[in-house]
Amino acid sequence: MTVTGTQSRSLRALVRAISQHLAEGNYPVTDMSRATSLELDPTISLGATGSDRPGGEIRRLEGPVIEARPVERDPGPSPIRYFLDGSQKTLPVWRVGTVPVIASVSAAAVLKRTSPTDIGICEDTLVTRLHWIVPRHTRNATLDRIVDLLEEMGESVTDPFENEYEQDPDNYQRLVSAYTHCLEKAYDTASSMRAQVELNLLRLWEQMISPGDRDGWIVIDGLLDADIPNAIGLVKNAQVQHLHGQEAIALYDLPVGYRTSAYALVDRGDRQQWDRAMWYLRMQNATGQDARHGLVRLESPAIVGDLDLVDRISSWILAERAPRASSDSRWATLLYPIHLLERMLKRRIQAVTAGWPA
Amino acid sequence: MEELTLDTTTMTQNGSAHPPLPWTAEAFRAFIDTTTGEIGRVVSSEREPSGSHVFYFWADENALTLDVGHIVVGFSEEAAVVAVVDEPRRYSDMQSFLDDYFDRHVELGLADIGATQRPEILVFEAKVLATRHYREDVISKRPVINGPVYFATPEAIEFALGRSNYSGKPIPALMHTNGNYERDANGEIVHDEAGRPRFQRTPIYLDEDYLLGPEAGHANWTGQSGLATKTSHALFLISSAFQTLRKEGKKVAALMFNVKGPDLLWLDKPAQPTPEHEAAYREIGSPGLGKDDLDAYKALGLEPKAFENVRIFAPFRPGYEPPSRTGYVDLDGFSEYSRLNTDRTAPGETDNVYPILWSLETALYYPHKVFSHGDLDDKLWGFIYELRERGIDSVDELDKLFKKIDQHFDDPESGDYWEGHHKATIRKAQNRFKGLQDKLGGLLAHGKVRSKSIPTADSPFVDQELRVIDISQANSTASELLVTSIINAVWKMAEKSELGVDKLIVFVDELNKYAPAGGEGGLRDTLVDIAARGRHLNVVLFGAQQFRSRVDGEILGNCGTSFYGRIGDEEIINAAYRSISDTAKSELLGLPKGRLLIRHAHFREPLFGTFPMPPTIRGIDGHRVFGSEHSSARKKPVDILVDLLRDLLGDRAPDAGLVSTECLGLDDDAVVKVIKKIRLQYSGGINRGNVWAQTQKYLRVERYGAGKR
Repeated sequence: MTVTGTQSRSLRALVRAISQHLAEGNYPVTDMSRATSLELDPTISLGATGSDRPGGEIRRLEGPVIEARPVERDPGPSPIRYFLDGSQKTLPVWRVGTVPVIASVSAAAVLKRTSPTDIGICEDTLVTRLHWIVPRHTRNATLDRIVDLLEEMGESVTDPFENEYEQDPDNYQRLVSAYTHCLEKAYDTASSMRAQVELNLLRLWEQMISPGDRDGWIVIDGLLDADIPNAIGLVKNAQVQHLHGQEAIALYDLPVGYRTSAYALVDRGDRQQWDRAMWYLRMQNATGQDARHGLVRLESPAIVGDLDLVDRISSWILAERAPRASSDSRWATLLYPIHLLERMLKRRIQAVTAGWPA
Repeated sequence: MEELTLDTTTMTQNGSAHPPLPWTAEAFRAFIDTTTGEIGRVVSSEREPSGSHVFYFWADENALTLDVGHIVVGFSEEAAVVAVVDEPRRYSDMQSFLDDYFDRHVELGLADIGATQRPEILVFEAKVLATRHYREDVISKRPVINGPVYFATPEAIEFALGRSNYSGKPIPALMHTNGNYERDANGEIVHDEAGRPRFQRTPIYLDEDYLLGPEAGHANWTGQSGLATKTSHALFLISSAFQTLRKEGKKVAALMFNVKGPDLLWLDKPAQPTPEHEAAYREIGSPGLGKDDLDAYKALGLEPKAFENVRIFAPFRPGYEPPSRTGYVDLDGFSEYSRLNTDRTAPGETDNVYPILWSLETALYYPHKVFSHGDLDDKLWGFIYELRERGIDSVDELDKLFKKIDQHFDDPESGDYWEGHHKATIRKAQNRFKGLQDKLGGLLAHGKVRSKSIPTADSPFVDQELRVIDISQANSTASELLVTSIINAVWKMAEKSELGVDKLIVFVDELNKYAPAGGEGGLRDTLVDIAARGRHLNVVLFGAQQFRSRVDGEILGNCGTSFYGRIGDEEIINAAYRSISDTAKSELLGLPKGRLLIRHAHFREPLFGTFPMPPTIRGIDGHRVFGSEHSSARKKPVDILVDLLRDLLGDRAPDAGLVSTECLGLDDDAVVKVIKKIRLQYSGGINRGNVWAQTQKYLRVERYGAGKR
């Protein structure tokens, strides 16, 4: 796998060039450049299972019942030295009839922390991607022309309804004519593509960086979708409730510095080749707050073979509570290095979208 | 595995749409210290954009020596921008102090360093001094662009201080110290005598035409007494001006007033002892100039030598003036130095000391200084005019006149008036004049004063002369009168182009006393006139005061160069300092000795700089070494004569033995008289005949009398 970096030309310049071509060919498009990004659009619904693992049966790894346990603090230095995160901006560009044409800019990187003050992006791990999300099979001349122009310019184009087209072309035409659904699907597609970029980066880290630093651990902001040693997934806003009844109460009653006992999801047909082991940790005092305040779900396949790691990993994560990323509303569950990385990635996205009207 | 690529166009180096980066341009390489490398990066934001006169940059974490007052270089698209570093601010992304408090209570102890340290950047404000465009004919004001920042080299600093635009000779004034290290020809860091890396030093020069006229002129020092080293630096600058103008073949002199002890009485003695005086200097704990000082002089192109031609003038001690004979007091041949109101009276050290003595005529030029305000009414004025018209110009003659007036009023038929003046007015005048000699304490003679051969305090100057008027022991009336009369006399000479030199520097300490803000009349008017017109008449005012806010604004406004030493907190809040940044003001509150802030006509922003110890011995040390009768350093007059002849004749000077032989049988006072005559006759580069032959003649006169030369 290779990651290459070149200087991007701006999104605005690219759109201007294509708009000029469309105008010359009398292809009718409606400008949407002033529309807010899909990330900030309150009407876009992700659905209950949009970005989290589905609920179902669990296998309890530490005793018969999920219960609250105090984290035994690990006195040694934390081996967490790497952090991985991605960021995206999904922008409506044009509308052709009821079909929006979406540009998604995403960026991801691995951050390395060599010392408390020496923090920077690992060499050659910063990835920026501009991706176009446009239905290809609408038989609309303008949309087809847009796809052709983009591809002639070397742009990457994805049809968000490609699977649906393969299954049922008639249904495809109905789906693409539903404007809001198109937006939701485009956003889903953009998120999936970003997640794929992050996963690729994680693989890169596993193959190219981790061998040179066997004791170093990496924290991924979000789900951990790979069986990688020394990796921890940190989910800040778990949406699916895996626990029920008293176990759920125990979860939401967790005091600060406590964790739940670990469990694994039992796969049902969506079979993977490794177990998904996870637990919850309360990072901040939630007195008077929403039950989810300061609550994170940690995922690491490594604990399956060594349950002692649950406390140790929890201890390392608790040590990351300072300094606070207090300028971010998610500070209670946002690790500061991730916060730094997000700022760097947002700067990168801003460079590509500089001058965009929205 | 999917290949991760970045999209779209790649911009190549060749045929690129971007011009070359200005910080890589050959045209500016001489301005930036590339050995030290980049020390930071220019930043601008919506709230704090870069401007023509100020920009901001954050410092690299390795640039540990970068600090306030250093000079750096940033770049605009086509120019190098040289700026002086001002206010530093350290930023982090902490929203409030409570965040750190909570961090420490949740996870970390007070002294702990966590796994991640919140990043901090140190941002400096930089005030633009000058901009150098690619093209020499372009004056650019474009603000800097985001890019690297470097330490400025001496070449950049000299450019920024306008050196290339100087119309006159550059006069060294201070030394700027930058944050990068000085390197030798091989690029190795130079170390000081303590083995520490030496920082880059660049002399700060003043334009002669803007310090001494005619383009601009005057200098002013502000600072707390004893802490700001105003007089020390003034002496250093006067020495610098003397040496610079000498090289140009221009004549220059200075006039100073000694107001405190022996401060300015030993300016002809060097700070660095000669071998013969080393023991004496060591004995009193005056070690001379250190290696750093000597190096600084060398770097500034100056010699650390004392003033060659110091003349000290002092009034007599009260009641000690010479008696008048036939109505005259003759000062020629004066030799009773112990009668003078000065600390410089030790035998052998008085050949450059001269008396000041006035007759009544001189004192009555300044009746408002002599008589109190309440006394000086129209009637007394009228009587004073009567005295002038009658030519009463001595106390003796006045006494005679009062006797005559007394006889007039003794006659019952004469009435209450004499020559139109009422008896009461005359009695009042008698009473006030009776106390005049006490009031003027040693300044007023009974008879008329005459002198032909010795210089006077208000006579024209000679080249390289440093004239010191010692008023340290005079009472306040006498000292004010002396300052006023001498400066007025100097100004009159300047107006008639009779100064005797090309440039005259007048140093006045306690300027707030002589030219107070809101004041009127008297010396203040003269000083304002000097400040306004002096640069065209070759007189410049070097003024010093503790409180700049209390000095007349016209004088300060005409001043082309200002120096600031340590200033007190009550003073620094005044509007007089509004042009100085808050950071510079904070610096001034605690500025150490030997360091000053300078403003000069050519500099867009003020700069901090240091100066070495003055080239002359401290007054109090000079007094202990040379002023004490028992001091081993004190030279015999014969030795002084030998030195003088050596200075004047060089290799052609007679040897010490021959001079000693010629002086045999003469007492010290006689030899001192001869020294004085020779100095007078041959000082200022004036050559009047054979020096040794003339010396021998004078010695014969002293031995045998005037008729037998």
